[in-house]
Amino acid sequence: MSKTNCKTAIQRLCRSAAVFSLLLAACSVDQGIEPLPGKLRVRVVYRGERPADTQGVYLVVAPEFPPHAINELHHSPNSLAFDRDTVYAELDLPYGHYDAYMLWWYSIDRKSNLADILSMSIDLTSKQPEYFDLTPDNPVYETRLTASWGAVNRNARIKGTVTFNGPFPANTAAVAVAAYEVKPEDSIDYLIFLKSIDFSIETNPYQFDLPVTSGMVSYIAVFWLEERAALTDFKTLGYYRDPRRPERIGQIFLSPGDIASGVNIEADWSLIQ
Amino acid sequence: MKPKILFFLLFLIQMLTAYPAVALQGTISGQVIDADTRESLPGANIQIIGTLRGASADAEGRFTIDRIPPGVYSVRISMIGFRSQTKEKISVQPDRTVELTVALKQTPIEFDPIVVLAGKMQQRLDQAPVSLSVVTSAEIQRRNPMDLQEALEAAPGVHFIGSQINIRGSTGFTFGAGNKVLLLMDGVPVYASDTGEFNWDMLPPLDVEQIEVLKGAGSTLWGSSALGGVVNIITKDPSSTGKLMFSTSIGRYDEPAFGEWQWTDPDRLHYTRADISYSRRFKSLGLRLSAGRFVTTGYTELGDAQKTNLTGKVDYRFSGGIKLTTHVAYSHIDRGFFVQWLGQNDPYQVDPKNLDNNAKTHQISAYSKLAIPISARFAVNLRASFVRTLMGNQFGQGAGFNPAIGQGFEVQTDWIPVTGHTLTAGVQVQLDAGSTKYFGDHKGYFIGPYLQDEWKLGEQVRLTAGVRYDRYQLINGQKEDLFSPRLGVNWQPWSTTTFRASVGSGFRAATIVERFLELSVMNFKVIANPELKSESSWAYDLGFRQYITPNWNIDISLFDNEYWEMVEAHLDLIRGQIQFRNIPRATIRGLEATSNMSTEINWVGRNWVPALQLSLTAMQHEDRQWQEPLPYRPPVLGSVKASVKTGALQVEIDYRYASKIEAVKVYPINDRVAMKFLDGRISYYWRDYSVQLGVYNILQYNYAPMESNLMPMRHFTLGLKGEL
Repeated sequence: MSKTNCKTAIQRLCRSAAVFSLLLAACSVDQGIEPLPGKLRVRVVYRGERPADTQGVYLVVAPEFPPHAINELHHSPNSLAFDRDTVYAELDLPYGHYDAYMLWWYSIDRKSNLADILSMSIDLTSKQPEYFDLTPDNPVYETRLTASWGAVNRNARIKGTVTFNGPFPANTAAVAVAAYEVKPEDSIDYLIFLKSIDFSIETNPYQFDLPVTSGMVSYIAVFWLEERAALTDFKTLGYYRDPRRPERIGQIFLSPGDIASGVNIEADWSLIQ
Repeated sequence: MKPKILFFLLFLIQMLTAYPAVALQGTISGQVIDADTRESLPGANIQIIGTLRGASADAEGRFTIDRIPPGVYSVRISMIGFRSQTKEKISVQPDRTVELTVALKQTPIEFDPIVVLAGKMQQRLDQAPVSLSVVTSAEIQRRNPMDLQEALEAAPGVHFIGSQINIRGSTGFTFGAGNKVLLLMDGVPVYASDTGEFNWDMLPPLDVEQIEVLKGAGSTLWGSSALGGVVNIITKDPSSTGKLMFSTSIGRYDEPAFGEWQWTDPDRLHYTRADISYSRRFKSLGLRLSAGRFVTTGYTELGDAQKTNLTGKVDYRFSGGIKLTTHVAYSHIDRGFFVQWLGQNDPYQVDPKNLDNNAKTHQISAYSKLAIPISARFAVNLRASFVRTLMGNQFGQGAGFNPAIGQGFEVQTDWIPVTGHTLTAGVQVQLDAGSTKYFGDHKGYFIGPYLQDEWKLGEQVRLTAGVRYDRYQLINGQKEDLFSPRLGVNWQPWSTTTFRASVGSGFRAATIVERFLELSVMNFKVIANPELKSESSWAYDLGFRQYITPNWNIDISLFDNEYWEMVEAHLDLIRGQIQFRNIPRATIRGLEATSNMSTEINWVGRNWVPALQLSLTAMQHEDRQWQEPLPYRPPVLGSVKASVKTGALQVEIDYRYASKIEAVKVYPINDRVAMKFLDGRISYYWRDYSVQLGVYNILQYNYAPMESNLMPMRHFTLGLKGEL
């Protein structure tokens, strides 16, 4: 091949490459995953005495509340500082509607669960969680949350035995015993009024030992959660009854350091059929 | 040995060899040369079709195959990077030598390579009854991969989630424990015996001759783990003349696609790979030694890694064609352990409290194979293998692993009792053991006899029928009996057209890790499930291959893989637990189409060789119990590989696409996008040297195959290869 032909070929190749590069540069190229454009900015005020077993406090946002599953919540990547009275926290989010935002407490000693909501902002008129929207026009939502350490300072205990009248169904996701400040009436109440919950029931009978915050405990119940059910789709199997008037719900008042024993519950599988 | 038994064995061998020792036999010899340069082609492969006889060309391209029973044969001559040829109607006469001179033409695409995965013996790809893909040595060299995973990821129907391979969506993502694909090295299993996972760094890419990918179940011949597919990495043989090969690459990462993602000085993010290999044959003794090292800073925090490979392959050819081959591969990996990003606005960083996470792995895998060609119609192959994997620190929790040891032994016989039938029979034994403080000491073994017949009906039809029985016994635990039948047909009504159909079954016993691991990982606790059952599958495959021109083919296949008791990781989000559980029924079905084209044109006085390879895999996958998509499986995969070569210059563009994954397990609310990667390479060849500039992820596309794990941003590689 002659030198001229070679030069021509290389020139054409270079021209083609240049045109291709220009085309690429001119196109609005889809870059896949992008940084999150929205932001929730929260001023957090802590009140009360922090539990000694505090591992961390996370800012959590729920696109839907109550969430179907715990992994449908946006978490702050790191714990917020909790060694002072007031801190500022930010969470990057996609644009969209968010039903609720809250602070979630993590213990050093045990796994976190649904009872560990340290603070959630509730609209007092609707009794619903406060929602917010992030849009290109309003990419940042600023708010405040007051966190009372007392909500997770479980300084009392409830002990008892749950007895089931048969084996666990095969489609069981979890069976739990939970203590509520107020008897829940709808799905949101199952989270809002929850004082403590133990999801580890796997034996019959099961002896439980629930750490709770002191004060009134109005409802202690055993729940069944079906495989793939929503997080708050609890089915009641039984509840603690007043020992003197078994037709009534049993209630307990606990002072700091109190241990309530003999809180026994009969769980009846026929209630979920 | 009692005289009666001895007599029986002698009688059996006499029967099997079919031809009496006194029969006069002929010889085929010749030379293989390059059609363009007329230079000899050392290492070319010569195979007498329908027999078990073959040879490799020596330093002068010459070969000799003796002790051939008289008859008329077809002889196939192949060589990596060259278009294969079949010489028909070669008549072998007693005490005569047939002389052949074969000129092979270079091709950028290996249209019809020889494969062994389909039938546990050498056969042409277009004569297999099942769907297969092949990544050739030439393609591996062109792609200049840093490891075997990079070498494989452009194969049609193959997709990686992290380091877990998916063949037509087989595996999904199982958190690094249990792979529904079997990995073989030269036909010998090389998975870690506790996790069932692969070490894609066990061999330097320079040592690889060819990678074969069997799509669908293959347990009839290959046993456990061949549930959703089989990958066979064929290593290079010692070369006939002394050859020193080297390959070195340096690369650096570009800045992140978005300024706010920049987490360190981009100039410090780089990688280096260097491999060297020496190969030589001393008469009957062949030797190949390789060493490789890969060092990277990574592109993320905890992305740093140092990897070292040492491999050796020795073969010795005894008289009578008996060949003993031993291969040993050692790899050491010391790397940071990136589990998940800090957040979508800090995707290259990790939670500071995890900055000490690292992982170390030592692996040594070795096998010995003895091939005994008793006659042109009967051969015995013995294989023994050993894989020792030792994992060090994981999740910063300190070493708690003892070596996991897998040992295997196999006897395989190939017998052509009458012309047209090839019987493959054997028995495989595999013992897997794992021991850590996280799951205690456990051992399990398989014993699996198998039998397959390939029946050639005339020149057009090949029927394959096989069956395997496996007894799986977990020592002091459960045992299972598994049957794996298979039926296949390959019909070539014309030389340009092939139809294939197969139905076969596969199984995989749950690994020791899947059954027994108890470990806390971040906020999750892994719970043991000793009752986990083996998963099994039936694979249905219907395929069609058509040569439109000699240099342009299309291949279309419809597949349906039905799974029973599929093992998947189950996340119990309420209790913060992970447990491996069986999904009672699952289905993955779809269509795969590939097309390969290459041609030669003259333009502006130069010779140009353009080539184009297209592939598309469309799948529907479903958990039949919940009527939901299976997690971590993109429904559509596609790739375009285009190249043009003129003189010493070659330019290539690769585009890989995977549609958005429909379901994930850990963070379903995280953004998910399709995969769109465009790579480009330009290479210049000069004598036995080549220099290559590669740009990967040209479009700076940000893709996370699993949640919170971004693939690399754009990066540049400069590579230099050569032979001395």
